[in-house]
This record gives sequence, structure tokens and C-alpha cells, in this order.
Amino acid sequence: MEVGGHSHTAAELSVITRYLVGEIPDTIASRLYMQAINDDRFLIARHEAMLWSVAVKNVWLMACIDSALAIWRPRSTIRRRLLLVAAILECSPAYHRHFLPGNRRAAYRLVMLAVALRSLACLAGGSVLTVLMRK
Amino acid sequence: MYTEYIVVGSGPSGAQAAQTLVEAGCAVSMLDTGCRDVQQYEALIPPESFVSIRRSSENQHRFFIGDDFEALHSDNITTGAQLTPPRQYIRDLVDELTPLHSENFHPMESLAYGGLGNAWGLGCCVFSDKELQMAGLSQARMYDAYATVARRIGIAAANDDARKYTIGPVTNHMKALRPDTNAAHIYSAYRRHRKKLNEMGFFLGQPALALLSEDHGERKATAYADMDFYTDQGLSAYRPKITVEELKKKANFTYRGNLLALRYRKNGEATELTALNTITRREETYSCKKLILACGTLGTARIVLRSENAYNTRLPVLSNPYIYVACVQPALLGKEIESRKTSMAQLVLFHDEDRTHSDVVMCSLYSYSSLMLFRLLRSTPLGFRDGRLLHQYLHSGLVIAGIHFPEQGGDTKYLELAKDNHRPTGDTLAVSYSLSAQEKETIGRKKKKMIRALRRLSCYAIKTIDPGHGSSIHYAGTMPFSEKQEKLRLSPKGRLYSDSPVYVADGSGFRYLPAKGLTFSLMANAHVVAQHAMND
Repeated sequence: MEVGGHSHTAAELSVITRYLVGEIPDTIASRLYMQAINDDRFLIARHEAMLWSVAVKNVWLMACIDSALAIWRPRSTIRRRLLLVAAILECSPAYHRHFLPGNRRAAYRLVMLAVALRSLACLAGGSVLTVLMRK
Repeated sequence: MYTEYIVVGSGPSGAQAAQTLVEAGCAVSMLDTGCRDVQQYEALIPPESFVSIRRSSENQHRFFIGDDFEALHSDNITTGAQLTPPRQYIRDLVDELTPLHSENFHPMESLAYGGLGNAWGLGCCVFSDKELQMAGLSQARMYDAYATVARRIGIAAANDDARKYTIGPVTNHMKALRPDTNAAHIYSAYRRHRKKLNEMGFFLGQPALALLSEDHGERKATAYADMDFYTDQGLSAYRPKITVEELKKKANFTYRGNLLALRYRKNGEATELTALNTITRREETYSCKKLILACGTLGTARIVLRSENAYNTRLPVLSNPYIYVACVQPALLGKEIESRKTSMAQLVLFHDEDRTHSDVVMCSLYSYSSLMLFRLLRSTPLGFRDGRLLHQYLHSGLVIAGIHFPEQGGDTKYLELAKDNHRPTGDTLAVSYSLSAQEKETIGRKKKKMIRALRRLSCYAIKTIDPGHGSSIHYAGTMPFSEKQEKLRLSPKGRLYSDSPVYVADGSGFRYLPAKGLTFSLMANAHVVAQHAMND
């Protein structure tokens, strides 16, 4: 295992947070993230370091790689790092509306359909990307 | 130190046995490892509802994720997966001091103050006459004991179709708890299909819970804050440590913590108990007239096998097979969650196929809310962003069904103690547990029927999770009750057939394990065993 991008942690957290909830990280999230990434359990594995360095370049690359790993490598260290940020954001009052359910109209099912289509597109793109990166 | 009775363990059985002895005027000393929440997470939790905390608490991450990110430790849903950071201390020292080796059995054990009672789901079920008979328990004594324990701990129960399987003939209970919207919706579907479901042997109702719907002494009625997996504010949920704290105020009771009971031996008229001091790591000896072991089926087995020098001797073990089924109620998707509800089981569905009240399958229905989305995200085959959006939408209609199956034991389920000098206790418990092909077939068939019944109740299964054997925390039956005087067996009064006056007040004697939760029966049996110990 090796540390993945410690010197760029603020930037990578910003990409992850924008990917997960579409906002920038607040001070609580930043502090907890800095604290957590020193823990061995959240280090990026050596064989995933390159994939990680691509993922943190922008939100869409992150979405594609995450979707692919969710299917092909659910125990990936990248997924574990993303879960860490998702948990941190969920436990921050600033982002509660992105996690607590709210009343939705019936038409919201169309949004869910769009999410499903986007998910499939990300999966396809991410699968190609992860295969290319392996080569 | 000499005392009349030593009770080992402060869990549900130990607390009730001790209370019975102390109330009768006996001098009692309780020996216990007694691990506590050193992080003191509970003290951080504001007395507000889950939703309110989520919206405003700046330090919620400390008890929802943990200072060491404990909630993210495991990648799998397995034993103890339901333990939130404030409850994870109940497994402290277990791996070190009570080592267990198994390829196929992964029980949750506890050396905590209050034992596994700290993580108990609070369900109270009375065993039927037939179940008591199969378990080797006295019907008359147990029914009296159920009433006694119900009076002590406080139980909320309803008069509905499930009652005959839950609290049954016990009448001294409080009014039922208020069900949440999810439960109300399922129950209205049940009422529409009741006749058909009853013909198929399905009966739905509210569980009897050791959670107060009214004040009970100094304990307060539940605040419906939906924080029950994190805190016991107001002491509205019964935990055995409540009883032990009360007993500590009595002159004839002494609590000795930081002690792991190792072995006993007869010394003249007295019984000597040797314990490992978990702080100094030195052995200490205590003497008593009678010894009552109540340290959980596996803990008791270790002490007895060590004391009787029965290493590598096989004992049977019972454990309820258990699965989770995640379901959704489509009509409730995309709604706000209620801020005022309890986190415990909202409904319970029993399947009594042949209406004989034996081999009943029990399904507890929980509304998934306060356990957070991140626990679901990690096992969802979607990117986290889309997974979050999906679960946020599903959340209000998500129901978790925990299905327990009855257990009769068999040759493929056993344990033995092996010497192991690398361990502080000098040994390791080895357990082997596997189901026969016939048992697997029966469970598979009953599971399908249960899922079909849930569908009729508008709960559609989306995922089944098998957390592995032992994870139900419902295990027992290592030293079955026997009329014959056999080594490593218990008399029907709970006394070990041994030279030493040793009684076992936990589930070690049960010969059968109904699918219903066993904690209420463990407590009632502990009361009965303590009475026998006094009268013998």
C-alpha cells in the first residue's frame, strides 16, 4: 500500500465532495478527511494509485471510475476512500439535505430514471477506462 | 473472600438471578469483567430526535461514525454489523480473553457490564407449552417467572394477532408503543389480507418490547427519538445494567468488576472460584457456598470444560439460523421520515405453518432510518453519488425483515475446548456448525413462504443477506437439561451434575431454541434457577 496524493488532499477532497453532493467541503469535512487519510485503512493501494490520480482530476472521471469499481471491484481501496467521504458528509449538518429523505412528487420517478441512465453511461465509460488503465 | 452466592456475569441472566437472590435476603457477590464505554460516546448525544440531531449537531460524526471511524471498519454485513460506535465497546477484550476458532460459526460474545443485554433488540417472547417442553423447561415455573420478570423490566405489548406468540398469557404489561408510518401501512395491508394470511399460518402484530410506553419508577417512557441504536436516554429501554445498578444500593450485594472467571473447584464445604484480574493479569480466588454461572452459553461452557478438565470433549450447540431481507414499500417511497418514532422492531410476523405453536418462524420488521445511508451505500452496486440519490429516495419505504428460524441441534453442531498456551486463559474454544441438507431445504422453503407473505403485505424483497451462523446472537444448549445424572449436563433445576454446587442460569440447558427471541426466556429461567439454588 502507498499513500495516494497526500500533498493534494484538499484538492482531491474538493473533487470527491463535488462528485458526491455537488458542493465544496466545509471545515468539519476537511478536518475529518485529513485525520482519516493517515489511517492505514483508508490508504489507496499501490495498484490503484494511477486510477486514483485520474479519478481525482474531475467529477466526471470520478463518477465513471466509481461506477465501474462498484460493479467490478467493490472492495477497492478507492471505493473505501469514497465511502469515508460519503460518511463524513452524511454526518455533517451542512449536507443533511443530501442524505435525509424529503417529500418527492410522483414525477421524481423520472429523475430516478435519468439517474439510472446516467449510472449506466458512467459504468460503460468507467469500465473502458479501468481496462485501459490496467494495460 | 467468602460469600453465600457468587453470580458470574452481569448480562440478562446474571442480573435476574442476582436480583432474585438479593430480594430473598441472600448475600450475593457478582463477578464480572464489566467492560464499559471508555469513549463515553453516549454522553455526547444530545437529548433530541435523530432528525433534529442530523440537522444541527456539529459533533454527530463522533457517535455516528466514531472517533476512530469504527462504523467503517467492516466491509461486510456480518456479526455485530448492527453495533453503532457507542455500542461497539461491548465486544472489548472478547478476542483476547475469550478466543474462539471456527470456520463456520461467528457468534457475538460480550464481556461488557450488562453483557449482550446492551445490544438486545428488546423483544420479549414467551415460549409456548410445547416449546418449553422441547427446551426442557418447567411450564408452571416459567409462566410465574415470566410474570415476575415482566414486572421488573417493564414491557409494552399489544392485544393483536401476534400476541399469542409474543407476550402470551403475561398480563402485567404496559400499553403498546406507537407504530410508525411504515408499520401502519403494512398493518393496513395485513388487515385487508388477514383471512388468507391466517389460513396460511401467518399472524402479524406489534412485538412485545422491553421499552417503556409509560414511566416505570425512575425510568422514563420512550421519547420516540429514534436514537435507540445509540443511546438509552431516560433508561426507557431495559438493559441489565439498570438492575445491577439498583442491586449495588443493597447491603447484601457486592459487584466486583475487572474479573474474568476461569475455573471453580470444590474445597471442603465451599466452592472456590479462580478469576483473572483483567487489570493486573493475576489470578484471584473467591469462595462461596453456591456458584451460579450466567456468563452466556459459550462463556459458561469454557468455565465448566476447564474446571471439569474436559478438554477436547464435544458439547452440542444450538443457534437460530438467521437472514436479513431488505424490502421496499413502493407507496412510501420519496417521503420525509418521521422524527418521532422508535428504532426497534415495529412489527413482527409469525409463521405457524401447522398451528401447533412449535417450529414457528419469526420475522421482525424494522424501518430503516437511524442506521444511516453510508451503511447501505457500501453494498450497493452503484457509484456513491447515484447510490446516495437512490437510497435517499428509497429510505422512507425501506423495511428490514430479520427472519429467525427454529433450531433443534444435531451432530454437525458442536464445540470443544482445546489447550492453547498462547492465550491468557490457556485455551481456545473451537466451534463447528453446519446445517444438514434437510435443514437447508426446510429453511429455504420457509424463507420463500415468508417472502411471499411479505409481498402480500406490500413489502417487496430487494436483497437477502445471510450474515453467517452465530450472528443471530441467539445461541444456547451446550449442556442440555437431563433427568439422567450425566457429566456436563444440567439437572432440570439447572444444577450441573458435578461434585461442586454449581448452577447454570443462562441458556446452556435449553434443548431446543424456538425462533422467537430468547432473552425474555433466559431471564425467566435465571429467576427459576436462582429459586432452585436457594431451595436446594
